[in-house]
Formats: sequence, C-alpha cells, structure tokens
Amino acid sequence: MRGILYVPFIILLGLFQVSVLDICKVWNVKPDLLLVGMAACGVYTSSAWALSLGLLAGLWKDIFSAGPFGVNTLLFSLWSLALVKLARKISIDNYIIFAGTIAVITALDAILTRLVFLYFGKVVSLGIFLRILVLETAYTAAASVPLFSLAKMIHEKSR
Amino acid sequence: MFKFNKKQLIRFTALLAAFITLSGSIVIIRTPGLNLSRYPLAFLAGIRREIGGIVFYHRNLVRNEILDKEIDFLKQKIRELNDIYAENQRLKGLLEFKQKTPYHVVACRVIGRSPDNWMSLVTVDKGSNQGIRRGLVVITYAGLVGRVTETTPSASKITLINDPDFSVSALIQRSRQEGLVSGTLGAYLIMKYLPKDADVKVDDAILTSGLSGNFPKGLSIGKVVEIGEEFSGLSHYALIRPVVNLSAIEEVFVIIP
Repeated sequence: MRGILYVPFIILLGLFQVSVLDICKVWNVKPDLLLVGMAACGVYTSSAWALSLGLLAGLWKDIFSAGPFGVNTLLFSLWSLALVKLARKISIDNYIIFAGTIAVITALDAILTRLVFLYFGKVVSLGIFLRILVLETAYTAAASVPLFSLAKMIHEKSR
Repeated sequence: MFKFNKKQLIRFTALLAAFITLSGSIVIIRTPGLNLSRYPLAFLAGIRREIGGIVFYHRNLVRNEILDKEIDFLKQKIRELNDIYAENQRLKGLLEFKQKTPYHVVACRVIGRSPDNWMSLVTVDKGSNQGIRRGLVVITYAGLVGRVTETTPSASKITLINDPDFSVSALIQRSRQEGLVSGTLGAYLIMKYLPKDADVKVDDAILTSGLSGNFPKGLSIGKVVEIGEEFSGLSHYALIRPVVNLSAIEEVFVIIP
C-alpha cells in the first residue's frame, strides 16, 4: 500500500502547479510538475499504483484546465502505462535517465495535446508552439531532478 | 519493446476505453473537484502573494516610488476632472440627458491559474451563485482582462486576453481604425487584419470597439509597441502590450449586464 503515500504528493503538486508555480515562470512558461510527479511515483510503485497515480494526476490537471475533453486524463494514464513497460526493460532510477525520459514525455505530451486542441479548433501559431515546446521540455526536465529526489525520499522513508 | 499477448491486448483495450470514457466525462468531475480545491487554492494564493512580495521586494520598492509620484500627479488631475465633471453634470441637467446606467460588477479574487502553458486562464472564487455565467466580460480598474468560460456554483474560469482562443473587436483610439485583437500566450497581444494604409503608430491606445459579444465599447486593452507586415504581405499587424499585468492579477470584476 506504499502507493497511497504518493496520493497527497500528487494532489499537492497539482495545487502548486496552479498557484505558487506561477512565480517561477520563465518567458511565460512553467514546468509541468504533475507530469514529473506522475513519472517519479511510477518508478517507485507497482504497476497498478503507477497507473492509478497517472490517472489521478491527469484528472487533477484536467479539473483546472478548460475544455470539453479531458485530454490529460487520457494522456497521463497512457504515459504511466508506457513508463511501467519501459521500467521493466531499462532502469529509470537514475537522475540523468529520468530527466531524459521526462524531456521526451514532455515533448510528446505537448505535441499530442496540441493535436487534440487543433482538432477542437484551438490554433496556436507554429512559432509560439515551438517556443513553448522547447522551453517547457527543458524546464520540466530540469525541475524533474529535485522532484525525483523527493519521490525517492518518500520511498526510502516508507520502507 | 512493447509487446502484448492476446490477453494483455484485451486488457489494454478495455483500459483505453475506460480512460476515454473518463476523459469525456471530465466536465461532470470538474465541478466537485473545483469546489473541493477552492479553500486550499485560496490559501496557496495567499502564500504566492507573500512569496512574490519577498522575491520582488526591490522591484516593488522602486515601483512604489514611481507610483507615489504618479499618485500626486493623478490627485492633481482628479481635482481638475472634478471641476469638469461638475460642469458636465450641470450641462447634462440643462439638456435633460438620461443618466447612463453604470456597469454592475461582481468583485472576485483569483485563486488559481492555468495548469499548463497551452492556455491562459485563471480561476476565481465566485460562480453562478453570485450571478456569474459563461460569456460575461471580466475587467480590472486598468482595463479588459478576459471572458468567463466556465462556471460552477462557487468558482469560475476566466480565459485571459492573451489566450489564443480569445479575440475581440477593437479600435485605435486616435485614428478609430478597427481590427481584431487576439492572444499570443505571451506578454503581448496581436491586432490583426489592419489595412496596409492603416493609421497606426507606436504608443497608440487600443480600446474595445463594442462590436463583439458582450464587450462594452471603450474598455482599455493596451498600447501598440510594434507594427509589422503580415506574412502574406496583404495587411499589417500591431503588437500590443496589455494595460493589465496579466501575470499579477489578484482581483477582477465580472460585468453583469
């Protein structure tokens, strides 16, 4: 039942994402803490918990978003599923590999989210899209290191 | 790398179907979720304000000095305007003009912001219980902020003017040239579809034209900072700095018609 310890962790990250984190914006871009939190929890929990936490993180993000379709609920669940599969093949329990994985997921998440929004008629120009994509990917990967340490600490304390 | 046998494939398909159903029903989950997070968000908004005060202490100090000078100047202006107002009232009385109804507004506190970088929205602590509904216009003392896009009984979401989904018909105060102002997800807005011979200059004030939706005429939007030619070469665009600092708004007013 160690996974339950990460539920308040995800909820707190979501609340931070929509409040205090706005102070840390760089060129109007902030890191995606929920995505990092979801991935970090996935490394230290069982597959079922990883999937549930991915679903919770996605739902939590969609509650604060706008729009008729919960794109994050779907994508975050799929990312956690992919991470569980990936973690069986390679070890992600390393800062550099984790940050690299986060960078790839953030970039893919941004591209897929844009495609879904494009389908719903919300158009963002290519220049703005590329600016946000690059900055968000780099910023989220950088922010993943301290969050990963925090998730690791929770894991070690709970043992 | 990701191989599935038949049993796993069925399980995966079922999971995917469940996720899609859940994603489709997010609108139902959103209302209790927002209501639940209202109080912790209001608490964190307070913390954000305090941290901002500490982090930007020196900037605030300098700004305070500038504002003090501005207050003195504005006090003088108010005195002058009071004279003009009194004169105006007298003349109105003489001409028996009907008193125009002022806006009825609901004051709201910003408790949350956008969870990602792809939309520009804020969550406020008032909702349909206070008469707020979808499509209403949101302002501050300085000017236009955005539009209400979602409401729950006790909270609402406001799409800010720098969201790419937001557009409003506007005009240049000096030349009365009309155009369409949209968001760019950044610090500036863009006024599109200006004819090549449009009379627009840097520092021109941009106001709402009153031609789109519920937007009243004459709300201040921003000032022109740059003028350029569209990629097609058929028209011009103007970059606008909003009068409202969208990243620092804490209180807003929703106009109830």
